[in-house]
Amino acid sequence: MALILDGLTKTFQTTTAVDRLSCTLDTGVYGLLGVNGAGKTTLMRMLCTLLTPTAGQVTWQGKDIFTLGADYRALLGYLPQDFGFYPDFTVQDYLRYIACLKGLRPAAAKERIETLLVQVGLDQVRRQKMKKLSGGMRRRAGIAQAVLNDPEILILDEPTAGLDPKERIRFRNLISELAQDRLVLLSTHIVSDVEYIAREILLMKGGRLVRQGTAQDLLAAAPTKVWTCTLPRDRADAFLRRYPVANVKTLPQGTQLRILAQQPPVPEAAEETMTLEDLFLCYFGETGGDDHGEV
Amino acid sequence: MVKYELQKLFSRPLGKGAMAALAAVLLVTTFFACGVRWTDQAGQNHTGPAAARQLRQQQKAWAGVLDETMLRRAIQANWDVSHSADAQSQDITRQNMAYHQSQAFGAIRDLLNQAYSSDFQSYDYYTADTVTPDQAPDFYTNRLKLLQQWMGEEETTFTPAEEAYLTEQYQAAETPFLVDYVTGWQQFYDYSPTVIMLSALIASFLVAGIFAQESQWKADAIFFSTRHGRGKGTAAKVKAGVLLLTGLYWVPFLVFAGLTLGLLGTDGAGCPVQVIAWKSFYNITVGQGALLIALGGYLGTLVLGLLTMWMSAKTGSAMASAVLPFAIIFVPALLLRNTSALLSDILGLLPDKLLQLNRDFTYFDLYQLGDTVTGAVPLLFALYLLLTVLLIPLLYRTYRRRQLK
Repeated sequence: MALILDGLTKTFQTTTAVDRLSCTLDTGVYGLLGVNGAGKTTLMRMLCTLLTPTAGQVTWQGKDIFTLGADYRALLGYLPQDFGFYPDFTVQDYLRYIACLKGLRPAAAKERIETLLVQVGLDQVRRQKMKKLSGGMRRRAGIAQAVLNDPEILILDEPTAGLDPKERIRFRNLISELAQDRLVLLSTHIVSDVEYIAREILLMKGGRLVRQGTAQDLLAAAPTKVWTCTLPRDRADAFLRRYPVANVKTLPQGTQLRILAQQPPVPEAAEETMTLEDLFLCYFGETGGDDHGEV
Repeated sequence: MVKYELQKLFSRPLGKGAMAALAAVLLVTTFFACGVRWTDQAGQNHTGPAAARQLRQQQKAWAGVLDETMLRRAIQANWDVSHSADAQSQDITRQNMAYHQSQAFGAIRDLLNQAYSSDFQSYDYYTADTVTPDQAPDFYTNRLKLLQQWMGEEETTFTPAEEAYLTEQYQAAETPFLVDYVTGWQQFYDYSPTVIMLSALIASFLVAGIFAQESQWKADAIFFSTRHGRGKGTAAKVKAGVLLLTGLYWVPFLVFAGLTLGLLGTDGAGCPVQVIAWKSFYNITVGQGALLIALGGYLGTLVLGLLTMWMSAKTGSAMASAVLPFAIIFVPALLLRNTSALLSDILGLLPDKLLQLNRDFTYFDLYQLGDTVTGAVPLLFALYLLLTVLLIPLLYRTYRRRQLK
């Protein structure tokens, strides 16, 4: 029951969005981390059969997913990055329509929608039009539609982008709850999203998979160390230019920097435990997730 | 799924606005179509369904076979009225009193104007007043004579085969004509293209969103990732489009036809179409012509709507798609038909022609296929029936294969 990506490539004219990507995904939550433009969305769109690959293939149970077509999509749940919906549909009608598209029988669909509306906390607003919902509520309607068919493969593209911290935590917990016994691929540039719930993390950069493993594996294999040191303000700028800096904190006695470096940047620097956030900075640089800046 | 597709279209404020516009068009057009005028004995004008009833009652006296005897009677009656003191008077009321008498045989009088015209392409309302009963035997022969005279003119460009075809068609017309009160049908012929054209435009405007709004709302990613998105889901969109085009065509059309013919009368359905369109070379009855107008309008609406939907599926742009039917209808009107024979031939076969078949009955658009010459009407039906049959699977295939970037 594994989704196998073999040399998957997608080229748009002169740009290679996904470059010879190979990996095997089975049950569990996979966090796909990468900066904007890393190719995460293109990869996910290929996994959802929305885009055909330029080269390589994706197989499910040994069969090409594009050959499987509707049979493969019957196992699929997808929440795209830009979650589009029908603004004048009520939440209930929207879910009923998607249930039809997913091939659920009316009675089963009705029952499933009832359960999900309660589970995602939209029971009270079921008759409200989608356009009247808050951003968080829309996302929850989005996750509800994605799991309507109880999918074996759940693909979530930046599901928490734009949500406030409270909604993000709520959403993360919901994903955790729904992730039982299925393959969940969660793309994000928000490190904390995957830190808590992902079994395995895939780091994507320039269309390629640069690292794959559990958070512990990735942290253990990190090619650098983390140091904190407090420096006079006039010296801090030079360190900011010279090293990747994970955090800058202004204190009465100077500027405290969290620096990624193999050796202590100053003799008095103290070594810290590396976090995923530090690792993200290590692989993607300080501009990682530049547009949103959420970590 | 079809239900949800329709719900998507009609839940939009734009959808509701389009429905309101269609209702308004229907109301206004039916009002004008039923605005038949009748002048009473005192010279007072009346309009509306009651006036139509009076007119019908008066014209029924002249219903029957328009043979030489009836022609002589009509010509004499017209002569008497037009040379009466009332008709010669400067007083409008007295002129109207004279008109009260001539409106009884008004339809025949109109045919006299055309049959005794000095040339095929001109029309003079007072020609009938110059005709004497002795000229009655020339009535039907004049129709052919004027056609042949016109075909012999330098500016006409008919081929010998086309000339022979037109002559045959004119000769094949069953004479003497049956005449009756045909005001109901006349109004139907005159006003139905307005209802048809606006229904087609509004319906096409609405169906433009069926495919395009998925990408506009960015809902296509979920749509295509579902089990039936590229199968039954796409088929439901096509079905919803065809259903909407059918409903938005037939409901207003039948309401219009029902009200107009119900209020003005359906008498004269068996008369030849020439009593309404004298020059027409199509040998059909008024009722058959009306049926062709109805079916042509439906086919034209389907073609325009399906082309719009195809554009919408191909480009994902509702705006570009919505403009297409307007362009198909209005651009040909801006092009000069006389600039080239090929352009003229092409313009004569554009789908907008199906929306106004009443005019096509009077046009001399001829097409030669091998040795066979035919008018535009049967060709339009054959061509667009085929296109419709091809467009439906094409539309389905175009959208189900859509890739998202």
